[in-house]
Amino acid sequence: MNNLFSLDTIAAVATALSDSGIGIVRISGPEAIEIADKVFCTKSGKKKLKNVDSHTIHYGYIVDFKDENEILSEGWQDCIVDEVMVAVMRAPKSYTMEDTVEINCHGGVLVMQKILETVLKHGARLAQPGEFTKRAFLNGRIDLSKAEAVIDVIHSQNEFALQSSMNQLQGNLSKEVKNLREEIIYEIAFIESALDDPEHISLDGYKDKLDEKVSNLSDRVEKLLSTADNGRLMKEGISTVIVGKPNAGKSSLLNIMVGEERAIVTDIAGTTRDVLQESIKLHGIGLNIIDTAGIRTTEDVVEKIGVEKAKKYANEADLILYVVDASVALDDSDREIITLLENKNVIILLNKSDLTAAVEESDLIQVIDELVPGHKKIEMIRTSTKDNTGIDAFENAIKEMFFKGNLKNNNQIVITNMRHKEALKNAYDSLQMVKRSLADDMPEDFYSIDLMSAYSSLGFIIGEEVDDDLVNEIFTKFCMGK
Amino acid sequence: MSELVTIKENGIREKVDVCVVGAGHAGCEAALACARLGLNTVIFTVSVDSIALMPCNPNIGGSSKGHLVRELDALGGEMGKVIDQTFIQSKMLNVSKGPAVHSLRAQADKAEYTRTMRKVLENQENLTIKQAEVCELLWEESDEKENLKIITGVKTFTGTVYECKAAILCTGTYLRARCLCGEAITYTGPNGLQAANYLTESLKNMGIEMRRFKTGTPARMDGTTIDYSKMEEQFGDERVIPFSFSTDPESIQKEQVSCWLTYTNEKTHEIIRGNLDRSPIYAGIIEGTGPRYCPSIEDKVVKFAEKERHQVFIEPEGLHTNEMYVGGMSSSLPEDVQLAMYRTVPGLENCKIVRNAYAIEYDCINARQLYPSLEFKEVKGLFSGGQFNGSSGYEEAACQGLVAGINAAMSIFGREPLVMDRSESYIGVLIDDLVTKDNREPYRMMTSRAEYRLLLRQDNADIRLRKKGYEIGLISKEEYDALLQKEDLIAKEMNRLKNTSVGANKEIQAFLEEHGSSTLKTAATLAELICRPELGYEAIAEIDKERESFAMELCGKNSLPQTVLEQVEIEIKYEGYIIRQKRQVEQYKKMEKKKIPENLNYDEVPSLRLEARQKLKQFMPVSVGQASRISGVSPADISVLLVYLESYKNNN
Repeated sequence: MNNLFSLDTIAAVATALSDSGIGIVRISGPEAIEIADKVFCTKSGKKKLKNVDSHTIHYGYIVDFKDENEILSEGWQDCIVDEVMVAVMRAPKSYTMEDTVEINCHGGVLVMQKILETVLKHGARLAQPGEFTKRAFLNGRIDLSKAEAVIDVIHSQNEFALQSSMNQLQGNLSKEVKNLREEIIYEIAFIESALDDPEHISLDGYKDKLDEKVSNLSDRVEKLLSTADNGRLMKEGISTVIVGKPNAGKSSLLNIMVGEERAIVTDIAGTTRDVLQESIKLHGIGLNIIDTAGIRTTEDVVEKIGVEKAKKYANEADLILYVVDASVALDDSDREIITLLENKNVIILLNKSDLTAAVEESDLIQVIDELVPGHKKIEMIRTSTKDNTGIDAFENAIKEMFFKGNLKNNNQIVITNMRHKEALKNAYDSLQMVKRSLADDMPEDFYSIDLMSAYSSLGFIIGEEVDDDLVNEIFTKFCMGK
Repeated sequence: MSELVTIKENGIREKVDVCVVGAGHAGCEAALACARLGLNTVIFTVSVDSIALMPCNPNIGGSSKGHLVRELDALGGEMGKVIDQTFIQSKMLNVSKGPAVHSLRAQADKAEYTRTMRKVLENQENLTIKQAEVCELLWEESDEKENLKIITGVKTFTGTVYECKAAILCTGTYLRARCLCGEAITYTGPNGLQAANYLTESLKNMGIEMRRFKTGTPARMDGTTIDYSKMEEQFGDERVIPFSFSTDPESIQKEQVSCWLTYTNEKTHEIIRGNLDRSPIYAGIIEGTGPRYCPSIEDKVVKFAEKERHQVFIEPEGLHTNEMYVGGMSSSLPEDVQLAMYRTVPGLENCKIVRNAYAIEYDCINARQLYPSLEFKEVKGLFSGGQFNGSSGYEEAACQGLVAGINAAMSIFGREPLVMDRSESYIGVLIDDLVTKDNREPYRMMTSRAEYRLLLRQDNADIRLRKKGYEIGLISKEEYDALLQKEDLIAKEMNRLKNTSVGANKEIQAFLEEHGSSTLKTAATLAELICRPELGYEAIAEIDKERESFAMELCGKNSLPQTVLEQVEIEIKYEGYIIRQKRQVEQYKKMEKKKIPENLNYDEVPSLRLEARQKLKQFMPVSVGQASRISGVSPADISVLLVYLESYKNNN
C-alpha cells in the first residue's frame, strides 16, 4: 500500500514536461526543505534553505552529489545539474499546506527529469497522480465544494497513468518482471513454510542457496534498471501517425524511416489492413510511429475496421504524416482525410514525385483551408519513396518542429518510465538488504521481510498487489505437516 | 432432520446475563471471562465430561499458535495456565531463527488438561455448567434500526428457557456433524460424541448464513504395539519456559516424556493410491471444504507425488494411557486401508488401532457476518468464537472465545469493545482476517499472516497486552504492577547501555580481537557493541564493568531478571528492523483510524472503479485501512474514498 497520508515527502514535475520555457519541480512534505538542502547549493555553498524565511526565493544550483561530504570539496561544480531559482514555502502557507519547495529550472525534459531524479535519490517519493491536489484537499486547503473535482483529477490521472503504463510496457519487460516475482515469492514461501512448520521443513544449508539466488535476482533487476536508463523500458516518443489513401506510399515511408522491410509493400491498394507500430530515433528525437491502413470508402469488413482504427489513431496523435499520391488528383477520400488534420501538427508529403504531378501545393492548401479553417501551419514536402528523394527535407522538418517546441514528448510516458525506474530501484535496494542480512548472518525470518518488499515493488510495475499470493504459494508448493 | 423444529417449553425459565453455547476451548475462555467480570453466566455442553476436550492433536502452541496462547494469557485468559500445569513435554520452536518466530509448543496430557480446565470452571464464581443441547435462539426485532435483532435468550432440547442479555456461540465442530471413515458414516460429533442437530435451522431462520467445513484427525495407536527402536526419539527442552506470564518457571521444571519420529514410504503411498476411490473426499462424498495446511495423508500423496516419504510423529496422548497420536497421517480412508497403510510405517508393523482416523464435517459461518468485536452485525447481543467462525485449532478458538466473552461483557456494561488491530497482536490479525477476508477453508494462524511480526513477538506479549487485560478487569493489580516494574527495568538498562561508552583502549581492543570483532577507531557505546552480529549482551559482560552493581541497585541481585535481559538484547540487536516496522505501523494506524460510516452508500461515491465498488459493497469495511486490504481495491480507489469521506464528514 502506498502512503496515503502525508507522513512522507513527495516530488514531481509540476509544470508540463516539455522543452519550452521554464519548468518547476515541486517537493512537498515534512522533509521537503531538508531534501532540497541536500541537492541545492548557492554560489558560496553556505546558504541553507532550512534557515531562510518562508516565501523567499533563492538563486543557486541543483547539484547531484555522490555523497554529502562533496559539498565541501573543490570539484562540486562538476556535479551541477542546472542553474535554478528555489522558492521555499513553509507549512501551512502553501498549496498543499505542507512544507513545500519549488525548484524553478530551465525547461527541457532531460533537465527536469534529472532534477526530479536527484530529489528522489535524496529521500522524496515520486508523487502519485493527483497527489498534490489530494493533499491540498485533505489538509483543508481546497474548498469542500471542489471535492468532486478533486476526485475526478485523481481518478482520471490514475486511469490515464495505468492505461499508458499497461499499453507502453514492452512485452518482454513485463514478462521478466513476472518471472522475477514468481521466483521471489517461491523463496519467501519456502522460508515461511519452514518457519511455520519447522519440524517438517528444514532450512539447513539454505543460506548459501539463497545467497546465490539473490545475486542472480539482483543482477537481473540491475539489468532492467540499465535498460530503464536508456529509456527503453517504455515506448517513449512522439506519437506519430502516417495517414493517406491506399497505395500512396505510407508503408514505404515507414520502411525508409525504420530502415527495414517491416510493412508489406505491394502495388495492390489496401495491403496494410491493420496498423503497424515502430519506435525510432530521428536526430535524437524519439518517434513512436504508427502506419495505418489506407483511408477510403470500402465494403471489405476487415479493411473497414482498419480504416476506423486509422481515424482513431490520427485523432490521438501528436503528429500526423499525411502521404498524398501526387500523381493522381485529389478525391473524396482525400477530403475525408483532411478533416482529420484539425488542430494537429501535420507534415504533408507529396509523394511519387518521380511521376508526373497531378496535385499542386496550392490546390491542396485551398482544400485544407476550406475543410479545416484555422488549422496549424502545415509543412509540405515533395518526396519520392521510390527514389528516396525529399526524405532529408522531411526529417529536417520534424526536427525543426520539435526544437521550436511545437512537438512535445508524451509526458505520461516519461513519468511512467520514471515510476517504473523507481520501483526497480526499490526492488534492487531490497535485494541488497537481503544480501546484507545474509552477510551479517541474520536469522532467516529477516530475509523474507526484504524479499517481500522487493516482490511488492516489482508488483507496482505490472499493477499487481500482494494479497493472498504468499499463503497460496505456501500451500501449493510445500507440503505442510500435521 | 434439518427442518426448523420448535421445542415445546417446559415451564422452567431462568434469568442469566450470558449464555455460552459449547464448552470447548472457545467456550471455556468466553464463559470464564464473563463470569470473572461479574456476570451471571451459564455454559452449555452436550457432555460435561468433554469440557475443553482436545479431539485432535495432543499439543498446545506451535509456530504462531504459541504467540496466540501468550497473548491470550496477557489479556487474562486461562489456556496458558492450564497447559503449564498439564504439559508432559515442552519445546521452544525455531530457536535457531529470529526472536519473532520463536514459539512455544507443549505436549498435553489430554485427560489432565480437560480435568484441570473443568475444575477451573466449576470453581469459578458466577459460572454454572449445564449439560444440555441448545436448540433455539430467542430474539426480538429491535426498534433501534431496521433489520436489527436483539438476542433475548436460548432454549434447550428439554424445553428450558434461559433469558439472557448476550449469547456466545462456540459450537466447534458439533453443528450437524458427520464423521467419515471410508464408507462408514456416522452422524456424530468428534470422538463419537452427540452432534447438535437443531441450532443450525434456528440460526438460518434468523437470517444467518451457514456454510460447511471439513477437517480430520489421524488414528490413535495402542502404544504397547509400537516398536520405538525403529524411530528417532524427540526430547523436550532441558529448561522449560512457561506459557503463562503468571507461572513461576521454577514450578514447572519436571521430567518429560518423549515423542517419536518415523516416516512413510513408497509402500504406504502405493496402498493409498490404490484405494483412493474408497476415500470419501476423492469419491466426492464430502461436501465441506478442508484445510490445505493440515492435509490428510491421501492429500499429501496426491498433491506432492514427487515426495518419497512424509514425516510421522508418534506423540503420547497422556501419562495415564497407552494411546499414541499418529501426527502427519490424518485420513478418511476405510478402516482396512488405514490398518494396512499404518502398518507399512517403520515401527508400526504390528500396530493396533485404538481409534480410527476420520474426517468430520460441520456447519459454521462466514465470519464476515461479524464485527471485529465478534458480535453479529445483524443480531445485537449475539457473539461467536472458534471453529463456528470458520477457524481451526485450539489456540485460535480460545483467543476468539476470550474476545467474544470480553465483548459480550463490554456490551452489557455499555463499554467500548476490545478490538485489537493487526499491529497490536496476532489475535488482532486472526480476527481481522476472519471478519474481513474471504476465507474458503478453516483458518489457521501462520506467522506469515502477521505483517508486523517483528513487533508481535511471543516474548513481549505481556508488554503489548497486559495493560488492556488490566483495564478490562481480567488482570489483577499485582500482575499489572509486576509488568510495570519489568518495563521500568528494561528502560533503565537500555538507557545505561546506550549511554555508557567504552574507549578504544588496549583492554577493549584485545577483547574485540579475541571475539573476532573489528577493533574500535573511536569510542563506542555498549549498545553498539551488543548490536554487532558476533557479540551480544552476554558476550560483552567482561567489559561491562557497571552491570552487576547497577542490577544490585535496581533489584537487589547481581543480575537483572532473564525476561528483562531478553527484551533489552532483542530491542538493541534488531533496532534497525524494529524502527522500520514501527514506522510502517504508524502509517497503518492512520489508515485504521479513518472510520467509514456504517451506512455509507458506495453508489454515491463518484469515480470508484466498478470492481472496487462491488467489493466495497460486499465487504462493508469499517475503516479505510480495512478497505485498502480488500483485493480489487486499488490505491487510487482509496484516494477517491478518502476525499469523498472528507466531504461526507463535513456535509453531515
